[in-house]
Amino acid sequence: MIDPLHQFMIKPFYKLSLLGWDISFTNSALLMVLASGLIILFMHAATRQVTSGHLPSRLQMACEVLYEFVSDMVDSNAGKAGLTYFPYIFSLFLFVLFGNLLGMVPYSFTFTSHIIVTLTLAFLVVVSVTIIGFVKHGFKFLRLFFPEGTPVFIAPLLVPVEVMSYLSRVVSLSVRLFANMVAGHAMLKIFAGFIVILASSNFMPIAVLPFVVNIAITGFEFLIAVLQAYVFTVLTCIYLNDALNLH
Amino acid sequence: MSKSDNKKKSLISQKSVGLGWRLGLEFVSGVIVGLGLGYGFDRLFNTNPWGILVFILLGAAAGFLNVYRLAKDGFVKPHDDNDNEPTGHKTSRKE
Repeated sequence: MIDPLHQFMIKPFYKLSLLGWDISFTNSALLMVLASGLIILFMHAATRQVTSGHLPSRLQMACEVLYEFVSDMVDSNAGKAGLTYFPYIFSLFLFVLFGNLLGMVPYSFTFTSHIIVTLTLAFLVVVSVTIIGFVKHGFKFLRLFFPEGTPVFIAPLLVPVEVMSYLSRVVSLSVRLFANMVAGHAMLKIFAGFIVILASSNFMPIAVLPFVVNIAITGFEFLIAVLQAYVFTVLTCIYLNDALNLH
Repeated sequence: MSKSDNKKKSLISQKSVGLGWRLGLEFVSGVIVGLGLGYGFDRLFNTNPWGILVFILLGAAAGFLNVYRLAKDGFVKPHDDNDNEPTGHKTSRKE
């Protein structure tokens, strides 16, 4: 009847297949395209009329606030050297942020509520950070898994554990975003279901209670949407810092 | 016992709750990586239960290592803010 997980269903709009792989254009893909398009449109509109000597427009102010927020974050977490990778981190932040916020629009779809999407993003982050580490430090980067001054005889135990600890970043980064989005949206639907059930029963006035809770959760979900985009980006910066400055 | 005192206290406890969630996830993700690697190992070398058994133990050790690292520099006291070094702990407890 009322299925709180129904909202996460993938619906293909336009069936496509490539070499036997299903690459249909789905509602998830549509929202991703929409998010990217909105980001480009927003940035374009905000920087279209950059004039000196005039008061910046509201859109330009909003854009500058976002830009400085992320650039300060990169600077304080990964240092000046991290600013080289600022475009990538800024894009990542905006993509996750827009994905989370577009999911708050009624009848829309949250693509960050699918583990495969967040896992891909996290995988991209960890792989590129590893490549950066190898490019910057060469094989000295492997010292990350076997710090200097460690007795050689514990290497067979230490190295696999350290490697797995490194790999677990992919899982923790993606699961955090995915679980937060799924839990929040499912909670919204469950309380909305309570409203319907109570309103159609003999205890109709009690239906106000879940309604109030639902309003509060909606506000809370906006906070979570922004916060999780922030956390995802901060952790990216921290991992970048680990690769740039070996300890 | 002013209002700001109370507010500060609740802010700190909220941070700790966030950190607590993160600690749990860090441990579980280590075990998941162990499970995945063990399963892959078994599929490759046909050593059915042994790969998963060994790799889950190693993954749990990696999870404990994650938790230990986070707990070591995650729980920073509210006073010793050191903004000079660009390490993660300044923001990692913000979650």
